[in-house]
Amino acid sequence: MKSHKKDHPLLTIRGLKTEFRLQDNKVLRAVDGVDLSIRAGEIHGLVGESGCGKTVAALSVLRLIRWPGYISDGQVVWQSEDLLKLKKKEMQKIRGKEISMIFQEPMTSLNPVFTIGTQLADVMRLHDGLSKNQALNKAVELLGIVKIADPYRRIKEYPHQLSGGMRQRVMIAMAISCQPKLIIADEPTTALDVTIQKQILDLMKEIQEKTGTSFILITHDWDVILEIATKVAVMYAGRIIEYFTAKDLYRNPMHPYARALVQSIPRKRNKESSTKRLKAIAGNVPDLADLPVGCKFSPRCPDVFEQCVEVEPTLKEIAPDHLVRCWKYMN
Amino acid sequence: MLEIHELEMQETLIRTVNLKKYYKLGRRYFSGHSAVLKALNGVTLNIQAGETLGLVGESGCGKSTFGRLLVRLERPTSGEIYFKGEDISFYKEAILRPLRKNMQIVFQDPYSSLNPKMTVGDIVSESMRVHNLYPKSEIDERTIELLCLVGLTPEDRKKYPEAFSGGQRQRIGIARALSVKPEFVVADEPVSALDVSIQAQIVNLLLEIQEKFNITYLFITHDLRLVEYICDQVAVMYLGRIVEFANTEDVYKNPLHPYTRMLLSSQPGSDFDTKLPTEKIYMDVPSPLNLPSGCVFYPRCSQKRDACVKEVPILRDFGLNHQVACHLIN
Repeated sequence: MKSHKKDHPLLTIRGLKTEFRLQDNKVLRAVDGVDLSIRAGEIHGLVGESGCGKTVAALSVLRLIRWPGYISDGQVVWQSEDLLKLKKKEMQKIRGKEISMIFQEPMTSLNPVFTIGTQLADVMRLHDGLSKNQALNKAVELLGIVKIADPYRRIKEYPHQLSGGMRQRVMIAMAISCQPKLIIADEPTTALDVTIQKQILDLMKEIQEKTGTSFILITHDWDVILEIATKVAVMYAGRIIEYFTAKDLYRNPMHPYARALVQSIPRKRNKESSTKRLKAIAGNVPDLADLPVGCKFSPRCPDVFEQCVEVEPTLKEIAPDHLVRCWKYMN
Repeated sequence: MLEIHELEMQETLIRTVNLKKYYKLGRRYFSGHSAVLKALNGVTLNIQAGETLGLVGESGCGKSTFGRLLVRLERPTSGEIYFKGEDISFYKEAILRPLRKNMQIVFQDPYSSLNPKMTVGDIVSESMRVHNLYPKSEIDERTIELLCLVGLTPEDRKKYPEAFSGGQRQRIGIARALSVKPEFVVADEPVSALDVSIQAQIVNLLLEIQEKFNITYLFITHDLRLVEYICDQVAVMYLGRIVEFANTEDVYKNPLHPYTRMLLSSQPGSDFDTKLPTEKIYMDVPSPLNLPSGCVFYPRCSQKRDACVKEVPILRDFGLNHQVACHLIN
């Protein structure tokens, strides 16, 4: 069963563009032509710095973009259905049921005035039509799955009574409650300490192995990707600039931005190098409302040449499963 | 021990002895008792001149409190803080003020640590004016010099903080700290609010400055990779106590305390777990309002014994200045 499923992508994003209208009628292109496909059972990483469009891309998939933001172009094909063409009611049936989401800040994404049990049960009553008691029993079971001790007591508690790590477990329990096929996790461990991060990542891995659920993991931390993802897309200024297998993350990045980032991450200092300096990338992340014409990384790129400033390169396959958006590899 | 002393040519710049900081919280509704948060629970630590000491631990373990006590932004509950041999622990503000120019702090959040109503020039030059370091005519010149040193332009001194990105703001914060030529700087998570590509710029700037002015750093962070990269020595803190202290290499190659091992093996993508007995992570950090008896780590420790529950382990030296507070190690 696994093999034939693997060939068919679960989710295919084609040419997705999401824009935000600013006050002075300028347009901010947060996501500017993203193509991505996720197969069943994959943990797919999406990395980039803040403002690169990774979160907006994920929210666009679930159509959670609010005015002044809007999806201006593209397709989000979910099992042969374009989600962008669905009616609101139809979309609601997919959201939380087939595709669910885990947010970064477990503090603000749970409702402080309802108990954990109520919030977990609500999702299942809505999507699976369970009665209140059935749903609460299921909630206890789910808390057990995400390894929260003493679940009978916990379902009666409010979010403020739980630690950050436990709240994130509750979010995961909520996300898996309707057996979704895809979970989008937006910086699920960024607000947590390393030891708690480890627990949460292990839990996600376990869920993926047991249920075959796919994940899109959004993060800025390369090491998190390395830990659990299989494929990774690196984003910069609203587009994917490199797409490859996660195990090549440190070994074989090709795009100058990806290479520079790898070098700027503090790794073990080798004894021979006397200087402690990290290799920093000059300049700042570009302003999305005022992007350069050619390659968006060209103002900061160490290998820039004329072509780069004038025309933007396309994402090109340079090896099996390895795509790069850079003029260096176009010929 | 003799050998160690001979090796240590540097002087100790900062020394704390059994430093404690408790916060009294408001009275509980029914019991009438006021809760006491034990943020620091007896920290004894030396920082050598010209070195970078990394202080690591999970959030809420007391690292920031320790940093703020060292530069006397707060008053300790008990214990001693020596700055160049002088006990400054309970100095009053007036006596402290001339000393303040020797010790500065760079804060974590570059957005809330700069006054939005002051120009960058005023922010950077304020301490120079307060300490009367330069004649009025020279202050502007010195401000420009500082801004250039941290990679900003002279024109920037007329702008307000809102005009700058996170990384640039952190540069302003560093210029402010440097303006009084400090010998000791507490860097409290100086890069954790910044993007990866900007982090390296700021880390490099801090290192450059250290070489130029021979500054001693207390580098507070939760980023274990960064500590390994830039610190000479590492202190691992857990619930207000130092559980391990050693040279950076020794901590990473041969971590002795179970908590240190747990931290290192939790680092994603680390190769620590291949060599080390991986500590299973049992639970979250207990609340500092209700500390466990004995060793504070025992509820999360897989190898705990009876002694761990009853007795607080003291920090003992296991050779080459590798200190560990654990009953399990002999």
